[in-house]
Amino acid sequence: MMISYILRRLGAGLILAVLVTFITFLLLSTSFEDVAKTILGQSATPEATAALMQTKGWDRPLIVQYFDWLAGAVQGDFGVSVYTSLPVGPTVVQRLLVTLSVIVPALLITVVVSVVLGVWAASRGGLADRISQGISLVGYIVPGLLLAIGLVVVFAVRLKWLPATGYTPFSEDPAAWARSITIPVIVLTIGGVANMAAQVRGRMIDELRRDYVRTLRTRGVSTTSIVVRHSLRNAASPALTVMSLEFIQMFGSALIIENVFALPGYGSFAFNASLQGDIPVIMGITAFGVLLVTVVNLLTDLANGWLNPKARVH
Amino acid sequence: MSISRTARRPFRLAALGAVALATALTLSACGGSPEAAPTDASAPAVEKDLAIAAVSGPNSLDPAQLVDGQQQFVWSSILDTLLAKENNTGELIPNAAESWEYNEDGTELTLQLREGMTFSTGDPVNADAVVATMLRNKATPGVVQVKYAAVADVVAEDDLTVKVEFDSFDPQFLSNLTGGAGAIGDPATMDEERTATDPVGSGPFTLDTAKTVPGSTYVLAKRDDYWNADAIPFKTFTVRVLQDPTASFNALQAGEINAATVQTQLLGQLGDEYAIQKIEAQAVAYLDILDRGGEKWPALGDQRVRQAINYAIDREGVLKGLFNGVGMVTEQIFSPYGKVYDEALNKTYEYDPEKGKELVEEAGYAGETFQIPSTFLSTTLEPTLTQAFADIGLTLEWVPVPPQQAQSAHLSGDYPLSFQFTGFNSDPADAASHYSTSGYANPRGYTDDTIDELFGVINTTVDFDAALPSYQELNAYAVEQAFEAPIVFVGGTWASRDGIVMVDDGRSSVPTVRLFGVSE
Repeated sequence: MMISYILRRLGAGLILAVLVTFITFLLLSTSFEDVAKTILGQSATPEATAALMQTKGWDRPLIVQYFDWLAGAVQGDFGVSVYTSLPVGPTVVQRLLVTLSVIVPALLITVVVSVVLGVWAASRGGLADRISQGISLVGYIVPGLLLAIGLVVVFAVRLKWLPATGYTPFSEDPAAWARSITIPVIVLTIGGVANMAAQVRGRMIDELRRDYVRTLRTRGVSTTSIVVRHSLRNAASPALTVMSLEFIQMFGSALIIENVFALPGYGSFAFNASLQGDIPVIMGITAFGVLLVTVVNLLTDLANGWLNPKARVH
Repeated sequence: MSISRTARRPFRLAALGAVALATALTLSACGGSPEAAPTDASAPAVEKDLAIAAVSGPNSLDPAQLVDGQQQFVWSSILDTLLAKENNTGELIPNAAESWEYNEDGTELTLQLREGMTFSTGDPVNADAVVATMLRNKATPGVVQVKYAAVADVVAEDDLTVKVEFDSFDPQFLSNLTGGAGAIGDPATMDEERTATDPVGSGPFTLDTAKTVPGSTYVLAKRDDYWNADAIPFKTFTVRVLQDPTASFNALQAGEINAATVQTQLLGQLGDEYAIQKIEAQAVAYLDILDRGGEKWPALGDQRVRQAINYAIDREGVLKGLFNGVGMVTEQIFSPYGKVYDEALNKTYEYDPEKGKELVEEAGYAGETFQIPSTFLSTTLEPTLTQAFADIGLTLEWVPVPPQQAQSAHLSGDYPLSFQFTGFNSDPADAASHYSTSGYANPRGYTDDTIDELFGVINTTVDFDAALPSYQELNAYAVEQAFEAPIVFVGGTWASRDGIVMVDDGRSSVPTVRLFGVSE
């Protein structure tokens, strides 16, 4: 049953990817000639532009071009960048891994810190609540970009503890990798915690006011047990939804972070491809993006079902 | 008459040496006897690792797709070019070709290659390699192909002699050989898939693919068997693509790179350990008048309106307010480092909006509205230009255009005006680009008898110095006719550290590793 559900969800994701990439292709198709001229630069003549269009196959019917691309994509061949000639599939994966290697640790730390802060604030109230809310407020107020620059100036430029720019793959040097992602992770985490801790706090306050909590208290169940075994589990469901949204939002924030820290990630790659009108890259990024969102939503739903029996499919 | 240049021997790029060489290696414009060759230079005791910031990496490393400009830092390190430009003078100098010679009417160019050059595979660089690359460039749609438009054929005369045959003399061709059109590919591997990303070349470096992340970091390792290895005092050359100026500045301060362009307002934060090289002009910012003949917008066909636009722009204000004073104001588009540039022309249109307004009214076009593409290039200057037009009784309407359509919009014929930044190439190339009927800045192909006559001389005079009066006349005529409204030459400042120095003052304008040296 569960496998069938997963397959159905993935199938829906694939159909969505086909639709979205088709629409993207239609939108891009209006600028094929512009892109050819951009590639040729200032000395683009009508003859050279036409020759390049022919070489790239952009003079063929749109539907033929799209299905050519789709046929390649289902076999893992997303074409090559019209500017760099680099294969799109492996490059997108490589860039995605860089971004994920920053986002995943940031998300995990965000979840842990947010749950601790939210639960602490909701269960203790008073000063704890004010501190928790204060931290959230500061996270909201301080712009991520400013924070990033400030941290770089202090920890990279002045103290030289961490690199100011660049990325080292984990496989090359785990310690250098950790150093290269530290400031980006801190910046993303602070923004994430500001949002998520407030959500966890609110949800926990609601849960702790419910009748079952009062009943458990009257039976002498400890506060820790009530919070951890009962309330937190119930509060986790909406928190998971916030987490999945936070994950997607971090992808957006990653563009700024990648620019400031010169990380060769997915965000800056997508941004540059859009600026240049690199059609195969934009198509590849769109396809991977849709699939990524589908998978994240699916994982969120599965986790929800695991935490909350009422949410399970039958 | 034949025009020739003769080879000089390898020169060293150490800072002091470069200054001395700049003086010593001046080439005569009309050929003749060779200049005194510089003395042999030995390699520095310790080669350094050079790491610089660039705003863009190379699109492709395929010889037929090479883009000039900052992308050249990477590809010119792998692919040697036939000619080069002298630091601090911008004169053409031998590189892989040790001499060149045109026939009398400029329809044949004979290039004599240097002996003993090899590709990184060990294969020899010979006339066949150059011929194969040039013919491939001519046949392959792409950036370089258009630079071979006048080339009829390329043949190998012998193992080290290449003859390029032209349909007609191309005044830009020699200068183009310092860029992508002059790169030499390896015929044995040029058609392989790897050529776009990891080509075999005969340049001073090879690409370290294990350490390179395309689009982000390019790591190049020096070839000790490069013919001019002594002139390259760097063990490795790393080009970091840092589009964000703050990231670039932080990387420089943190010691992750040792040379970068730095915004003027940040220079004060750098200590004495940094070497600063100011470049006064590396590109021209100008308002291009696309409909110079007034075919679709009659107002712009009236010289008085075009002149009024020139009077309306407060160039000093733009330079100080928008470019932090880095650069020079200008009323002409030719490079101030070239021979065509005439300082006296910069007094033609002193800022005088009142006079501009009078000219517009006299021409009867007050109240005209012009649409202009708003692109990533123009954003900063848009309010200033809008106000300048308003001051003379005209209206400027900015139409947002996505980056990938900026070029199409400029060429489309749908707009009467366009704002542009254009890097310098060479005087012949700049003349053709701005004023010839096929020039990028002149998409409607405007011409008149004077222009035709001047290009008639320029395009048939092989000796640049003999053609110089025509170039200068063209410049003066273009300024007087106000075919464009040049605003400023945009400058820049390089900061370097760790014993690295920039050894060019901007006159070379060819971004290669040769711009850098080491301090003794």
